Amino acid sequence: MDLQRFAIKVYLEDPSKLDPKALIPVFHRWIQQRAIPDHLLIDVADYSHVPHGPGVMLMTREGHFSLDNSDQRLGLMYTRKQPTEGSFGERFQAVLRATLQARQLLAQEAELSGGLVFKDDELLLVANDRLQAPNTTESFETIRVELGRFLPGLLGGEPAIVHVKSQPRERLALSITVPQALDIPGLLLRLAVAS
Amino acid sequence: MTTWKDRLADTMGPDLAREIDIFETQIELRRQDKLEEKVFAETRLRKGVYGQRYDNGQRHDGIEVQQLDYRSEYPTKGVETVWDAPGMQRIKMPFGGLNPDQMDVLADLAEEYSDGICHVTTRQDIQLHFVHLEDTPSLMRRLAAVGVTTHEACGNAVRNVTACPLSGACHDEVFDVTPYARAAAQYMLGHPDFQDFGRKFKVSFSGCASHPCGLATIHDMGLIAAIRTANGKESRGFTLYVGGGLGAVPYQAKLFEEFLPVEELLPTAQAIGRVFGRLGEKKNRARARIKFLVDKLGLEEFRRLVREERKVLPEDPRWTSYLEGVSSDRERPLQAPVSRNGVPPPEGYDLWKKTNVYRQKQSGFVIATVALPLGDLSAYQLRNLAGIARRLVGDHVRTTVEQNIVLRWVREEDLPELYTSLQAIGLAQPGAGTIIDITACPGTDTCKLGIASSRGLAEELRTDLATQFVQLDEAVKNLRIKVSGCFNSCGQHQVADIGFYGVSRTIDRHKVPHFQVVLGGQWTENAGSYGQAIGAVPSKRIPEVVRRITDRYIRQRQGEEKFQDFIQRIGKKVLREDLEDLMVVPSYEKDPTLYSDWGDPREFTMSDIGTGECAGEVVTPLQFGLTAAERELFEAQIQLDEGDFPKAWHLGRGAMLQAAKTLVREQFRDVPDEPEAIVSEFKKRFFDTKIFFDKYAGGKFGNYLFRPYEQEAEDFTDDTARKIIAEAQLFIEASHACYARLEPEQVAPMTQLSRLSRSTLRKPGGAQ
Repeated sequence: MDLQRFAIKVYLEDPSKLDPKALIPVFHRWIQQRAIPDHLLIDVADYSHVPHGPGVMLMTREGHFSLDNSDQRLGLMYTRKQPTEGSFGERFQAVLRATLQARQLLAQEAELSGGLVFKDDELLLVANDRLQAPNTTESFETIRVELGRFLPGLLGGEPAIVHVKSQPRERLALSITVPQALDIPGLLLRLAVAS
Repeated sequence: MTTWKDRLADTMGPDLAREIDIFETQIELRRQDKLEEKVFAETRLRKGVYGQRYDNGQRHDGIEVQQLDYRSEYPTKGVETVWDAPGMQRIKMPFGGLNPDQMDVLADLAEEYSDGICHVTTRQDIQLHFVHLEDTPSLMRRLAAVGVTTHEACGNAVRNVTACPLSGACHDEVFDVTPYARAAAQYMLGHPDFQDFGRKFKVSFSGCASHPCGLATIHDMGLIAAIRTANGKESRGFTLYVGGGLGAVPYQAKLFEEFLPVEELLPTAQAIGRVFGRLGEKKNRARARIKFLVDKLGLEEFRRLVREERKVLPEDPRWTSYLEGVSSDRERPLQAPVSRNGVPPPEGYDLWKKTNVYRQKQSGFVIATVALPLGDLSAYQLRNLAGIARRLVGDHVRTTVEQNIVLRWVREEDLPELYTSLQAIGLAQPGAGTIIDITACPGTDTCKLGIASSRGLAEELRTDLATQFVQLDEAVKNLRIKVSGCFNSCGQHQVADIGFYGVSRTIDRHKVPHFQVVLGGQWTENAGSYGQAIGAVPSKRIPEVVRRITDRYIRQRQGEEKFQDFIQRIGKKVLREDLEDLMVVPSYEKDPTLYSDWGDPREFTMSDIGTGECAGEVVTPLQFGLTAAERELFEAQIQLDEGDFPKAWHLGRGAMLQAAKTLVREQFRDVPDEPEAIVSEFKKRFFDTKIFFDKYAGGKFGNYLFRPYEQEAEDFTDDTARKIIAEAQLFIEASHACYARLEPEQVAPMTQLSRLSRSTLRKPGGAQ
């Protein structure tokens, strides 16, 4: 599996409580503070006027973080654009780590009414490369098998991995769910050790 | 690993595929620092690969200027432009034409290489932002596979040819301009006579004189459809305007020709291109648009030069070959109209239909406008819109200069279904072509030259006005607002009823974002007149400016008085007095909110402004030609390394031919493409005259070109390939040296004397 471009999304528990524009000053402050490790934070883009879009985005050289609503479920999505090293498993873990680091920061944001609450029993993996991973059952199976090699150990249990059905032209998306909410600080520690 | 190049090899046109291969090689050459920065910058600009704010490696974060450490190991990709910084990709859509397959691909590209958003521009282009240079060849190949090019989307070239989006369906048009716009775009693309400009060149087509769709008067070359009757026979033509343009110094285009027969459209454009290329300013980019040339020469003299040039142009069958197909080049609806079914319309439908639907001249069909806030739509929306188009209208989709998308040939009875489908993807906003349909350039969001947040202001105004839209007076509803982030006018603020452009003011050492208020521009009659600035107001107070001006208009309007007439009658002095209290800025301590811009909480600064790339670098065709020769030589070396000696040998020889042709073209613009002719002309003009001779080596390097064209190698071996590559290297070096010797005469600053010298060197037609 040579997939380099993919995104991971974590969903908000109750999206109705959030005005997406509230993230604009938060992201600007993150740039001031260089808040996300291993990323060059560049700018903030506001697409909150576009329904079914990426919302408010934090642009970095390596990829972008967005308050994404393109699947009509608001969540934090990290889309990796620059290649990362290692096997697919290592790349997945690097992207997951960046996603969860941003998730932790948002969960602790005082400016956002004390922080956002995330739905921690579900992840969405989006293959952002129609050449390497078209939206087919075959691609899904390939990625599912790859994930199966390391996810149970990483998440502490067997996750359910489901192909999110969509039009063939949409990107291949995999829903990864676990029976109980993940222990995010613990998972971040394991990811740090793995890196 | 499979690449898009492999996957799409059979679906791209060979010319487009070759162009993209060349660009990929040029990226590699620049990465290895084997291509000059300014040549690469103009090369990438001509591919639509544009810089973006903060790509110079610094950004003010609200407290201080932060250095952005891109950790780039490669050289710059332009002046103060870091290699690894993401940029913008502009994609040309001639006359805004789109089909569902292209829309699908654009949506895919937005997701995979950009930020998930497609942006429609005021020139009917599509732009993607935050794109990495390495991704551009794949992006271009995927576009090429659906017949779209990015070539000459930026830089000193002919930009996207725009046209009225109602063409072919408008009640008031003289005739459908679409086939002519298409032919002009195809003819000018890559044509040698449109390559030697000091700045960009913009062309538009309009079907009538009364509506604004084509905006003829703001163009370098604006064409309005016209019919002439002679001896009882009607013939088609265009009223041609030249030398218009907005920018910091707006000029209204001047009438060049009342009636230009359609047969003369392309040759006249070509002659204009030649005159502009020959006499247009090259050094001072601030005065390099054709409007300055027309102004300097006077319209009469400019016209005389163009006509003289036209007479000596070598005949080109493409001038008229497309005309045979014009009568059959007519859009056909996807489905025949049927009668209404009486189903009650969905909620919100009536308002949307009132503002967003135009009844075509073809009975039973309408054009529906998909209003895009700030010209943006997400990949999800665009892909689904492609599906809707496929189902209801087929290929009949266009972008507009008001940053919207229109679906043409919608059956009237399909409108409720269309509305419901658009609603489901968040694209059923009413108010197209009204005061809430605000045009805005990218401004400080992504543009390196932006001063204030045009998009931030536009969004604020749109949201504010949308809440009162239903209650607004009809006269106010129909006003147009346009916002530019700076004086360069990409938001076309001068042709709006109410326009704004970003400026800055300093109060006690703090900067305050302001917008100049521009009133009285005329949108109709192809942008019939330009508005004037009446004063600068802090950005955050602009919504109040709109309220006061529109309130006064409602209160004091006389009968059906138009806004422009109202502004004229009331006078700008009085209107300014209305706003003067808003112009007084309290200290930072009293009201810091005025010291930041819309949608950006950072304290406002001017320090993020970078070096603009709008004009590109002025790179002469000669520099381009010699660079192309070097690139071909580089490809020869790669083939040599890979052991393909015949290919390496032929590429080495071809590199010399390219260099020779480049030199010959300086004297003989229309040199044929045949190798024998190029070699013969080179010999006559540069070898026999000893212009090409080296001080020490004499004619040795010239002979390197002649020999392989007199006799091909008998055997293609490592040795013969290596030898011709080495000789080609020396030949190209000698060509550079020859250019350097000619340079003082040909590319000196445009003094009166050198201008004469250039004109003497390149006579009209350039045959001698």
